[in-house]
Amino acid sequence: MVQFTQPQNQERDLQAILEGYEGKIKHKYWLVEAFQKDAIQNSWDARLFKSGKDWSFSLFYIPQSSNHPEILGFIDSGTYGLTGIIPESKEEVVKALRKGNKEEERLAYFLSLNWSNKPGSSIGSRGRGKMIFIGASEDKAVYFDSIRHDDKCYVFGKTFLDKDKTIQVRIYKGGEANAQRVKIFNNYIPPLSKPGTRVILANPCKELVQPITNGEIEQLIQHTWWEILCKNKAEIKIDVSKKIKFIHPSPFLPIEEFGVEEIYNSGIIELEKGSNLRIKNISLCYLGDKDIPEYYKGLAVQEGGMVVERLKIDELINESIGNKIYGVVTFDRELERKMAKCEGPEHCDIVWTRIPANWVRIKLKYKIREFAKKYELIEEHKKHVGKEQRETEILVQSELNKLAKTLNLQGIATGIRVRKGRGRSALEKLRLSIADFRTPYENGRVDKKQSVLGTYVIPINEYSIFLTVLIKVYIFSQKNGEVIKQTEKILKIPQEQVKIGWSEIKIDKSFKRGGYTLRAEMRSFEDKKINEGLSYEKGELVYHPVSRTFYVEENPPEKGFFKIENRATDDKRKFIWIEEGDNEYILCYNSLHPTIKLIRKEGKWEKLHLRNLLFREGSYFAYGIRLAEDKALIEEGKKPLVFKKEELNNNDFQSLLQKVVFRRSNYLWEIDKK
Amino acid sequence: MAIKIKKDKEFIYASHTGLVLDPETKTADKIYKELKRHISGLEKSLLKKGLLTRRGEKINALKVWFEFGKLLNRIADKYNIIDTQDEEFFWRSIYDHVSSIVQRGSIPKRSKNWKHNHFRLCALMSKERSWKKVKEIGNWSIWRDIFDNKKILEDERLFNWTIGQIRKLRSRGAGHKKIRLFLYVISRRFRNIDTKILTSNELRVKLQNIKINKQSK
Repeated sequence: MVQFTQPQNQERDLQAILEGYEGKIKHKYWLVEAFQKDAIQNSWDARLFKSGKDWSFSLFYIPQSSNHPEILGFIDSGTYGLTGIIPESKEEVVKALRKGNKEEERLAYFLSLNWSNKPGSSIGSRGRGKMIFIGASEDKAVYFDSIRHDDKCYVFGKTFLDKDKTIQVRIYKGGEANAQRVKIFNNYIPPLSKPGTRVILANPCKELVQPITNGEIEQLIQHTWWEILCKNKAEIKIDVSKKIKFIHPSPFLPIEEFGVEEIYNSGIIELEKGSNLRIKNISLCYLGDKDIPEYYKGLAVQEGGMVVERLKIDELINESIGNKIYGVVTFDRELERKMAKCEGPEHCDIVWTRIPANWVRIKLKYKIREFAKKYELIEEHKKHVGKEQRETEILVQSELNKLAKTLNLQGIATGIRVRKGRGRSALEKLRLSIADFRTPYENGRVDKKQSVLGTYVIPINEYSIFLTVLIKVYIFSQKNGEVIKQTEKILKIPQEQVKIGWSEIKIDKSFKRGGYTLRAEMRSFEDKKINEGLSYEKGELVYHPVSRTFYVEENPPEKGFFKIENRATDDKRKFIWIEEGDNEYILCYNSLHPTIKLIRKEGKWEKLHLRNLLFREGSYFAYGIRLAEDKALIEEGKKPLVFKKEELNNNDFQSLLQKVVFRRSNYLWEIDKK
Repeated sequence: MAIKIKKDKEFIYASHTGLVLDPETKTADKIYKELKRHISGLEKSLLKKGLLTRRGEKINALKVWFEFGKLLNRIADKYNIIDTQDEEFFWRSIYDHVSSIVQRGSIPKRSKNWKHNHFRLCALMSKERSWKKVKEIGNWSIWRDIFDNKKILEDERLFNWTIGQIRKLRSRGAGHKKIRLFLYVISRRFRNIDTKILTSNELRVKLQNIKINKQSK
């Protein structure tokens, strides 16, 4: 038997990686952009102090002379250097990589491809960026040297593409390393004076050199690294033919630097209630007629101090508002760690269909849309609707939310409500029943002159022993806690099984617009032993307070997956569409759209018209969202919840749309049959 | 009854009924004037005595709050404000009168529930208590710990009993740590109990039992 490693043409791989970057960074300086991003990112991730103290990075260029070729490189200090095992063979490198001690084996990871040494939260965690250095050299060769922070050992080496199209590595240490450096570079590359790493490219590509010599690099670094330049006062400099230029903090970011007053900072936004996934801040700036450089346009998505991607705002919110808004989104540590896993391999974009990136995108869309509305960039108004129309909306809303529930759609920000204190159960033998409570609308709304029915409780005692209890029933305003009505009664149960409270509450002047809670509590009014394990003392709570809520002249805060809103806009694209709300999806319908106008003309807001239309259109969105979520689950290696894995294998739009259509039809068949 | 309070930068007459009669506005004006004059006078006197600095430092916080409590009790008693449904407006209105050396900024969050209004607590502390007795309980941070205990604040009888017990503990040399533990025991004991529905005798028996439990520990 013969076994060997498959021959590879790594020149092609190199080319493919470069093309990958070119495709992601869509401007003419894409190579230098990728180069500076990876170089600074590698260095910043290897810094000794989290704050960036003592860290410095310098990009240098030495033009060709009679003694040496054109040279371009970078050097850092205040970093760990290329620490870890100094391998004698390829096997030793693999062994070091297998140990998985990523933070210690920096040299081994530097020498390998696709084995990055960084934890998931670091920005460069795929190990692909190093290839950009080789690719940017005409000789397809990169030299490196380092004084390691821990053992102060000096290493020197070369990574290059050989004539067999494979990438080779040569490495030397100590005196031998120094001798090699002198042999190759004579004295124009001096020895390193302090711990850190240096990477040198002999004969760099013209595309790389030009933006460095013409100064364009400054803007590129500023717009990518504005965060560390501003917050960490990071020292980054460009040394062209010994002329040193320090990179100053950006005049455009953070947005406050631009000096425009129309700005917004969201502060912390929790993606899921109770989770530790938090957006640290979304900051937005309305530019009006002002302009900013091309590089800054859009929303910068920050990770580890670096801009990973700039999202085009108009594409994000699907509104043609041009470049009137720019800004930044930053994440808390835990979310940043998870977002790093959603990054594309070039660290230049984010795969937004992955979780939690898609949750972030939903929040971004909502916040930016709200901001755009504030400055009237979206001319679309919420429309006040009549009572009958609103009733229809509420009905459809509830029907759509039922569908969302069957589809396991849980809304934009979901969380399980945790009841504090002692729980209660319908099985408890001593309890309060509040079963007859009714509001005129299903969602708990009640209007003036209407009534809330069954605002009473019935105490139940299923023990064979009597207990004297005190029952208190009261209604209070959620706004200020003011008690509107209250009553209490002492009685012996189950002997006296009476209703305590009011059979009907008429909504009169004493009820102002807002939410109200009917609450009842039952306390023992004597010291009594019920059985061996259970006794109550006077004043003790026998049953956890029960409550019901109603809303006077307003709808309750939305909790479902869908919320329905009527809008008025001349935008012809808009008939019935979906928008991301703060905690839910908003199904909007345009009252200026001729189809809706026609229904209004007929004046039939009832079942067969608006209700049918909204529900049927809404169900498309529900299945569409489910499909997207199922695809994200499959991508994460999890089981889809509604669609079958085989159904989603094909990415062809028509085929996916067909799946949604069929599933929806199936659902409508079942409910209309009833 | 009505109380003159500042709402959205304007003065209004607040009453739980929402209806304010002419004589009520006159009394409200009187209360307002009295509060204004006396609080301003008290602040000046505290400054003069060096208990308070112009920068708002309380050199002796306990004494400052005791003096406030004493003054407010006097005015509240004079107009029979306590235990009326408008009592909450009275405590809220104090924030309209104190200057920034006493209270910087708007009403603190914990004072928004009128039962936990800081000035109501000061009044509760100095109600029928001499300065000597208040001092015996401990400094302001011990009093603050007592006030942080909602259960104890709910029932004045429980509050007074707790203060009495703390005084005894203090005379035996108990420190802040021990007092905190004692407050915790009381709070746990009555966590699910509404002591207000107990007769004095019933409450006394329960309180005596706490003592027994503590000793057995």
